[in-house]
Amino acid sequence: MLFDPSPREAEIQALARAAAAEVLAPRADEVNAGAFPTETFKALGARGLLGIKSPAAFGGLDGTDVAYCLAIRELARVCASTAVTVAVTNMVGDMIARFGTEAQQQAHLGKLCRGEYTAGSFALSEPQAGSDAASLSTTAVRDGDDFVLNGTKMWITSGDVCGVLLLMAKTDPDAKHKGITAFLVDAGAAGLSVGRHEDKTGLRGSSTVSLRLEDVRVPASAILAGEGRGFEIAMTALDGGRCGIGAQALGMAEGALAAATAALGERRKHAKADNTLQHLEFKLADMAVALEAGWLMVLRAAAMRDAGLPMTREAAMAKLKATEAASQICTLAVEVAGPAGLMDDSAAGRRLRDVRVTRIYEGTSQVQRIVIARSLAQSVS
Amino acid sequence: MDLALNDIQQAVLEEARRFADKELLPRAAEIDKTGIFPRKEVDKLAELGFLGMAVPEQYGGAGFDNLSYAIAMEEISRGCASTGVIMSVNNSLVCDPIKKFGNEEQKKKYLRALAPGQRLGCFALSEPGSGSDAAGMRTTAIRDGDHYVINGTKNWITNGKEADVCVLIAHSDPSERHRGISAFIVDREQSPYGIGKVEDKLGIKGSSTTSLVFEDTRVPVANRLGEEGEGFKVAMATLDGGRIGIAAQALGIARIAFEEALAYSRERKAFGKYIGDLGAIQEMLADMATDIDAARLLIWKAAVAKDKGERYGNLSAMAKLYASEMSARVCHKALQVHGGYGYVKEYNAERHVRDARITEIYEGTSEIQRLVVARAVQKAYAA
Repeated sequence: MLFDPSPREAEIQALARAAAAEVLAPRADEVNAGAFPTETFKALGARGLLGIKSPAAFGGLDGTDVAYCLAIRELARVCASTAVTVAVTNMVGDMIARFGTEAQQQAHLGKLCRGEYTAGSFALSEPQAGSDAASLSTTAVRDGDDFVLNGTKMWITSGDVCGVLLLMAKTDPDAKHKGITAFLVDAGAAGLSVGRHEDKTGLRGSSTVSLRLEDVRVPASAILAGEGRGFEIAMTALDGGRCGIGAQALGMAEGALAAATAALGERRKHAKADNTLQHLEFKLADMAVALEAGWLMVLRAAAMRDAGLPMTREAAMAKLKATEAASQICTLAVEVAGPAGLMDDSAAGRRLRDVRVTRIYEGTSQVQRIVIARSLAQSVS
Repeated sequence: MDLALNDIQQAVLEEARRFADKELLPRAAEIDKTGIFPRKEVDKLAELGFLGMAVPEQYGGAGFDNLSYAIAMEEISRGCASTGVIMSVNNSLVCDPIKKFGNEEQKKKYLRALAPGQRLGCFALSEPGSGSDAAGMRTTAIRDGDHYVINGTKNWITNGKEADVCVLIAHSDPSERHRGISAFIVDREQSPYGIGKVEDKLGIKGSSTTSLVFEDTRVPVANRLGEEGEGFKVAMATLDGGRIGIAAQALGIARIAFEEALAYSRERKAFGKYIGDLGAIQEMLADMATDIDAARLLIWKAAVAKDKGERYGNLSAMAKLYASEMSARVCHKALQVHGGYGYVKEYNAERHVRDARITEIYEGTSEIQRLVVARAVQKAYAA
C-alpha cells in the first residue's frame, strides 16, 4: 500500500516537468492569448510526451495511466491549452495502440507519437449529441470496400490542426449504441471540411472547431476494432480520458494555488496585523485539501486501470471530484489574489477561465453523477 | 503505483466489518438511546486486539500498522460511533504517546495493561477556558520532591468516567507558555482524581465525556511522560496521530449514513419510480459516494505516511478536516434522502447527523486543521 509513483512513473513526471518549464512556459502567455503553438508539439513529440502510454517502438514512453496523469498535471500547471491538445492526442494514440491492427499502428502511431501529425483528434460530439452519445446522427454507409461518411461534428479539439481523427459514426442508424463504429480518418480526406472556429472562454490556445463530412470516403480498413464497436471504444477512451481531464484540471488548480500563495505573500507585506489575513490563509488550506482529495481520486482510478480492474465508476468519481475541486480552487485563487486576479492575463484569472470547461468536456459533471448513481443502484439490487 | 491493501490489512478490514455487522449495528441505536457505555462491545474490541492496534506485541498490543488501525476505525465507527471514539482515544491518545515518548518501564507497566484492554485510557488536554489554544491551559503540575502536585480542571474528557489511566498535559512551569508544559501518566489507582460534570451531549452518547478535577493530586516523577517541558510536543504529536483516528471515525459514520440512504432510495417510490432513479436523489447519492472515497484516500495516505516514518501532520490535518466536514455533509444529505423518516428515530439518519457533528470539533477543530494546512501550503509554495 504505497502512494508513491514507481521509479519509471517518477521519471516520466520529471520529463513532463522539464518540458513544461523549457517548452511550454516560454510561450504560455502567447498561447493564452490564442496562438496555436504548432512547434511545441514537435518538441513534445521528440520527448515522447504525445505517446505517454504508447509503445517505445513508435516513439512513445510505454508509461502507465498513473504516469500519464502525472505528466498531464505537470503540463497543465504551466499551460492548460497545450495540455488539452496533448491529452486528446495521447487518447487517440492509446486507442490505436489498444484496438488498432498492425497496419493501422504502422500507419498512424509513429506519426502521432513523434509529433509529425502535430495532434490527434477525437470526433464524437455533434450539434445534437453530446452527453448522449448513442443518439449520433453522423452516418457511415457501406459502398463496396469503402464507407461513405456524412454528418457534422462539433466541439472537436484540434479538428483543424490534427493529422488523424478517431471519428464515431453510425453504421446502423436503427441500432443505438451498437450501431456506432469508430473510423480512423485522415485529416486531408476529400469531403472533410472545417466549419466554425469556436471563440472560447478559456483554453484559447487550443483549437476547437466543427467539422463537416460530405461524402467522405474511407476504406473499410479504416475501421478501428470492428463494425459496431465504436461505443465500446469511446467509453474505453473516456474511462482513461476522464482520469486525464481530472489530472489536467488539477494541474491548473495547482498553478492557481501557487499564484494565490504568492499573492497572499504580497498582501501580507501591506497588511496591518497578521490575523487580518486569516480568512485568506484558510482559503489556501481549503484549496490544498481539495487539490489533494481530487488528486488521490485521479491516482486511484489510474492505478486501477493500470491493474486491469474495472474502473468506470472510479473514473467518473475522479473526473467529477477533480474538476469540481479544481474549479473551486481557481475561484478561491481569484479571491485571494484580489482585483489583480481578475485580469485576463493574470495567473489566477487565466486558470479560472481555463478550468471551467473541465466540468463539461469528456462527460459533464452531471453525466459523471449519472454514471456513479447507476453503478451504486446496481450494487444494491 | 500500488494502491492495494496487503493481506494483513485486508484481514483486519474483514474482521472489523464482520464484528461491526454482527455486534455493533444491531446495538447502536440502543447505545445512543440509553447513553450507557458499551462495556460488552469494548471488551470484544479488546479480544480482537483493537484497543492497542499499533502497539508492538511485546507490550501487549496487536502489532498492526497505522493503516490497519485507520481501516478498523472506519469499520467500527460504521457500526457504532460511540464505540469508535472509545477505541480511538485508547489507541491514538493514550497508547500512542506512551509508545512514542514513554520509557521502558512505563511501556511495560502501562502499555501492557492498556493495549489488551485490561485498563482503559483517557487524554486530558482541554480545559474549561482553553481548547484550541492549548498553551493557555491553567492546570499546574508543581514539583515537590519525587512527585508532581497537580491542580486544575480538565474538560471534555472522552472515557473520563471509565478510564483509570490518564495521559495528562499540565504546566510544570506556569511562568512559561509552550515550553512550561509537561506530560504525565496519571494512574487513577495510585493518584486519585475527581470526576466532575458528566456532559449531556448531542451525539456519541455511549461514550462518556466528563471533566476531571485535580486537587493536590500527587503523581510520581517516574510517571512523567518525556522530559519536563516536552508536554506541548507530546500533545501535538499525539493529536497528529489522533486525527487519523477521528477522520476514520467520521468516515465510518458517513459510510453507514450513505449505505442506509442508498438502500432506502431503492425501496421508496415516488412519481412511479424508486426515488433512487430520480435525478435529484441520484445526484446526492453520487456526491456522497464520491466524497466518501476521497476522504478514505486522504486518511489512508496520512496513515501510510505515518507508517513510513515520514512527517504526516499536514496530511492528518487534511484528512481530518476533509473527512469530518464530508461526514457532516453526507449525513445531512442522507437524512434528506429519507425525507420525514429521516427526522424521526424509527430510522437512524438523525443519529448519524448528531454523531458526525463532533468530528469537526474534537482533536482540533476544522479551524485548527486549516491553520496547520495553511502553514504547510505557504511553505510548500514559497518562492
